[in-house]
Amino acid sequence: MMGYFSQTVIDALSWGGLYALAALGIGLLYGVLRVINFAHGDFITVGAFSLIVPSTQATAQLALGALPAPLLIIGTLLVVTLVALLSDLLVFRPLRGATPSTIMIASFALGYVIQNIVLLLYSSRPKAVDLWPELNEAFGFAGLRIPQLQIWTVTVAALLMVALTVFLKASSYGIEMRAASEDLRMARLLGVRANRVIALAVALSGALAGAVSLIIATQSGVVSYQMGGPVMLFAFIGTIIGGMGSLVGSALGGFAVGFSSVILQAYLPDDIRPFRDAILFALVILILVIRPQGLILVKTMRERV
Amino acid sequence: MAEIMLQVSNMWVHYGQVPAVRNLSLEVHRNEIVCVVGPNGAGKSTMLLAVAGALTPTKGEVRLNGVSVVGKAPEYIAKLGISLIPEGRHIFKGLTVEENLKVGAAANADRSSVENNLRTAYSVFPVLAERRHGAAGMLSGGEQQQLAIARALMSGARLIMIDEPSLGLAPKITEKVFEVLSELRRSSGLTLLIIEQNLKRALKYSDRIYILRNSEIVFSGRSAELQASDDLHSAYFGLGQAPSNVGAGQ
Repeated sequence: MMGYFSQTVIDALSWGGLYALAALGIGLLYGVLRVINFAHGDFITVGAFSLIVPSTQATAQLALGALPAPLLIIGTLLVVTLVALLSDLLVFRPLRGATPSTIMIASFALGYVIQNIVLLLYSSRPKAVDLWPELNEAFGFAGLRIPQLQIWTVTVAALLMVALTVFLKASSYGIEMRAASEDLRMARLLGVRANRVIALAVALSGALAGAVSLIIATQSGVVSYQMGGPVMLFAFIGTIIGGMGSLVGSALGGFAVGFSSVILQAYLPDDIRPFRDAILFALVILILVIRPQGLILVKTMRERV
Repeated sequence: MAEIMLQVSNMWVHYGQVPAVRNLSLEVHRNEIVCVVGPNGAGKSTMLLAVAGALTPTKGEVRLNGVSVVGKAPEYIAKLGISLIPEGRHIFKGLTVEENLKVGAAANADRSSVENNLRTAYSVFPVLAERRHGAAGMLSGGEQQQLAIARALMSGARLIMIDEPSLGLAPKITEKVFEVLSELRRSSGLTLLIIEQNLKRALKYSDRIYILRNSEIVFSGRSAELQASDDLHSAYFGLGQAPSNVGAGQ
């Protein structure tokens, strides 16, 4: 029984870490644009598909996926970062100054365009991608059997968050980005270049999406053109309950959503288990009723309340 | 007379169809302190935002050291040596005092001068040095005003525009802020364009004043000559006709 509990917790930690990364990607862009980028899930899809050669055939040929691990990782992150930057250039930048709702709807459209390009190049068939089969082997520890990939997921998520925190706190770009997400107009009046700081947030958000693609593709071994959707949904909810505009909040919120979905899956009675997501979202509604400002209160908002 | 640093000519700014600034002309000479006074809603803040590029004038010309900046992005104008401290100061509350100052250096092309400017800022405003690693949101109003001024100085700007430095401050603190500004003008050769509600205080600290009412300049003149002018008070309070000597003292 104790073993089942521990394994569930490790499972929950790894899903929590994954959703925290996805939510951070959304939160970063929300910080500077004040818009939830609904194409974020499709950025994740692009990363996963960059691993295989475009073709409509059932069996996938590895493209980036055939490279040695370091190149594969860098390549995937680069592809998603470029797609994100291109999206900024073609979609978000021309809409600078438009209302947030306009930009949000444009991000939906962008997501559909990306999805359909993937559909066109790769067909709607889900494809098997076997990246690092050895990572799915279990690792024995104190009587537990932990798939190595889960340890990797938690480690990578934690490392990326630490790296992002160091960047935001210690580098001048990071400080300017935090200033811009608190008050973009004031930051610009002081000489912070809006286009550059937004492009930087977009690029970082893209790189985080790339990391999520790699983890999901390795974990499931399958890629499909709609794979980003559910991740986006959970991460978006994480961003909201974490408190929009707070990066710590986004990460915590994403983590909470991922963690609790695994715990619910493991401990709900069998009859109720199919309704897991409904129960999870009911909890989200409850949190928002009790704490509409999110778990982490953004400092600028505290002043206005 | 010293050379003209900022020249605004026949500037109009609209919010939608509504003009907030009408046909405004104003100039600020090097090393001058110019105050713009006028009642709420006269268009003072709008004027400063338009000069700094946060709003785009619908008509007219704005020249900084002879270079036209109309329609340019605020970050571009900031790099030319203007710094605006907008109404309410807009301190980055989630950042530390020092981080606020570092963002202030964003317009400074000369990254090596940043450390120097930081030291200068701390010597002019010792309270900021004490609180350098504390959250800026926890500072008092007067300290936040000092931070806003120090942050504007970090860019190496030669012209600082301040929208109501007295807002939300006790009169004693406000006097101190104006003393510091006068001192900075003397010691570092700064040029200041300041919006002030209090006519008496504006006359006391400025070289020249402009009175803005109903989106238009209705009076301008040298502060020293205007201490007790009745025209001035009627222009400010909008009693009777606007005085005929608009542009006096130039």
